[in-house]
Amino acid sequence: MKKILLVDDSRTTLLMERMMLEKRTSYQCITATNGLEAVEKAQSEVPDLVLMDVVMPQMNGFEACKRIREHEKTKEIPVILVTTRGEESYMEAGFQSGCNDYVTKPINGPDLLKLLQSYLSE
Amino acid sequence: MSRFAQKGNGNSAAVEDLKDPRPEAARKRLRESTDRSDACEAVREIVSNLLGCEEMALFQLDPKQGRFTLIWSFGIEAKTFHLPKVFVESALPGVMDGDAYVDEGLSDAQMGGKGEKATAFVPIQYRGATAGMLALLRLLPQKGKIDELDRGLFEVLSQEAGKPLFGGAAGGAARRERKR
Repeated sequence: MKKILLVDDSRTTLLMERMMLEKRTSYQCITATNGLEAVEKAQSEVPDLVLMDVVMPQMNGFEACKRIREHEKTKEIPVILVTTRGEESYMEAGFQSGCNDYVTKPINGPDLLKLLQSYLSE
Repeated sequence: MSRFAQKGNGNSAAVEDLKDPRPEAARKRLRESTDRSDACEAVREIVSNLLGCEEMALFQLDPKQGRFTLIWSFGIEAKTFHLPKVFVESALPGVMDGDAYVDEGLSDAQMGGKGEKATAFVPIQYRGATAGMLALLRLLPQKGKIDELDRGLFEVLSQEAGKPLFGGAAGGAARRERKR
């Protein structure tokens, strides 16, 4: 079973992502509420994909993505950043941090599922 | 057909589409809200993350005065904020009856001429009556417009936010006033 690490400081977003994925896929979801926790969970759980918010307390998604890329154990894990900020400068910063994809909120469920499946297909 | 469905398009099934997890997540989040402060945070998360709007203002209805008073806002300058005139001229009767009002493309001038672009006014109901109103201002650029599925979120906000927002001590005065 594929494991996805969902990272967001919004309880509502985590709820929605969890509901969407657990009802419509067989992916196992684990969660973190800030970038620091995400880096730690990426290390301990080694998920198959990280779906992560950008603006978060303690450590933002860009920094967390960089840290995930720095560790041997986690450097190959696909990271998709999710944010309300759709400006080009933010997207560039996202890709510079090492993310594989960048999605803007509000999330379109079917589009996100297709994107996840494209990274998680065998 | 739900009163939050767009009138006239006949698409009632889209109001709370089972394929759209947002209304269910929003409902759960609001029901888990512990007090007014947490409920405001829930409203912010729902509107910002699930709907695509980071400018909003929440009003409580003073039943004695028949007036809406700003009690919380996000992403706007609360001190200088004024409700667009379209609220009183067009949206108010529907909001009092529990119907959301959605801007169908009015210009800024029509919306008040003060640069206060409003996208929607959502009644917040408590004990079967409008007790407040959530004004959604500018949508995020990538959002574009309110669609039919978004109205399912309006319905959840309208039905579920009232209890945590107005059902505690803060709502007591309004309830007592309404009983008179």
